[in-house]
Amino acid sequence: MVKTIGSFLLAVITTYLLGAIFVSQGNIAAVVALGFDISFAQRLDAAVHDMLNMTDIYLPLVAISLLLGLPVAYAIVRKRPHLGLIGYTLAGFVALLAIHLIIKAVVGLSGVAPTRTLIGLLCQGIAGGVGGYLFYRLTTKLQNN
Amino acid sequence: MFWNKAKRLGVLLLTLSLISISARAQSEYTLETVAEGLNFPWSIAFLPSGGYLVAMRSGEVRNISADGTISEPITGLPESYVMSQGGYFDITLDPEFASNQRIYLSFAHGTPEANGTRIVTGTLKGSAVTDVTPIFTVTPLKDTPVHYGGKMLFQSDGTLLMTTGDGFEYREAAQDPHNLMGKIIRINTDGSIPADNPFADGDSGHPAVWSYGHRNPQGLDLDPATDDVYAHEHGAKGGDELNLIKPTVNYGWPAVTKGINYSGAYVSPLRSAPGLEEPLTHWTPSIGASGLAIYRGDAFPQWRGKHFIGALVAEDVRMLTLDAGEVTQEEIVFSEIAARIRDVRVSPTGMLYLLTDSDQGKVIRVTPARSEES
Repeated sequence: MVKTIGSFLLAVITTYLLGAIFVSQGNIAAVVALGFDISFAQRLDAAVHDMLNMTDIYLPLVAISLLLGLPVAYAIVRKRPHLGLIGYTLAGFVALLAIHLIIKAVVGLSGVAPTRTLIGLLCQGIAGGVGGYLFYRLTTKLQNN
Repeated sequence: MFWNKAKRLGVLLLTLSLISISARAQSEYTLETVAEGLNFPWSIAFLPSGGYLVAMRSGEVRNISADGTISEPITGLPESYVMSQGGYFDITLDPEFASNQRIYLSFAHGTPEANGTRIVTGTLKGSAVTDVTPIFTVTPLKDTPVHYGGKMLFQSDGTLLMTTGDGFEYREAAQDPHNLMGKIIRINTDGSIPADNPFADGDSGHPAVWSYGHRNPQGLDLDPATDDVYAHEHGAKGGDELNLIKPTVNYGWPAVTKGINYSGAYVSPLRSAPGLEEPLTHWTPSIGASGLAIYRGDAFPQWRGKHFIGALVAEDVRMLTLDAGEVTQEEIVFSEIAARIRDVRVSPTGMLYLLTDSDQGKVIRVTPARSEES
């Protein structure tokens, strides 16, 4: 149980960090599209800044998303063990996608700016998918050991 | 040890100086609630009769007499899209009101799917407005109920300025001179475009655009002593700013800002950029700047030239001193009201009027201590 919780926390942190980087670069892409130059150092600085400063709202959102999404995958994979990899990856992907769509539907506004575009939204899904994949790999490895 | 004592001494001195400033300021004025029970009052327009009109975000305008009697809602005005930040915004009188009784109202027009800030004009006759005509609508229409701008101001040349917001979801539009969101626009009183507007030919921008790169400006006033126009705007998480408004100028949003997203992420890594105007001052964390009045009245000679800025979040008013185009001092005043301040205005008799932002909003008059407004 403790190891499962540890795997979940690692999945959350990984999703959070990756998602924050996607947010960071998505915001920068919008500024670049306006005709402004952003250096590599500024991109790097922004990524570090955002990873350190999105903990108040975005981190809990990521945690809640995976907390809801991964048990669904568990329920499915228990009956269909061969779907483990795709199940957890897809669950993470859908969970992150869903949380942003729900926020938009309920509040009428985007929680993080890059999700206003399809590519920005899909990137959030990818971050969730990586989290789900990592969770699957870690928990599988634990079971095998 | 030494540093601890020095730090304590510093805190003590700072506290004493703030108490001193606050006490000095409070001895200069009296606060008087002259009307209350108003449903989210947003703006105030003083009538020659001594009373005033108050536009409320809830979608109504009421006439309040000099003795504080609140009328029934003025009839004849258009229905507004009242949602979130949407509703009635600013109300102002025509410079020739004494002879033509014309008023101008800005408000959220439209539906959840397609709404925007609109200006209508009409003739005030008693408790009704007649001949109501839309003269300007911000386009494109949007599907968010926030960030409308909506502050209006007559310049000394008779043209009308209005701030517009970026609609929150469409912040990049503020950088597009062809798009009316995130701008200050300039029109004639009939809605036509002045021939000397910076983009009047429509080639490099919308003919109505006066300045651009704004987020959600909620304060706009003219200094009658200099004819300079000032505006302030809400930042996101931090980055509220005060600007001297000049035609054609790009004020930066969202490419350049001192604030960050509500999520904690940068809006942009740029804090400044060549060709983009820097604010005169900015506030981080945000004070929720709302309402702007530049004092040139006689009732408070010591306040002449000061900029008064209401603060929704900080629940006070900021009194700024400007010298040679720079903000040299900022004092917190009227914090004893302890309410969100939506608007600050100077009456024709030189009294400051404040609107508090709630469904039981108040009109508070600031008068010199031991003095009554006649």
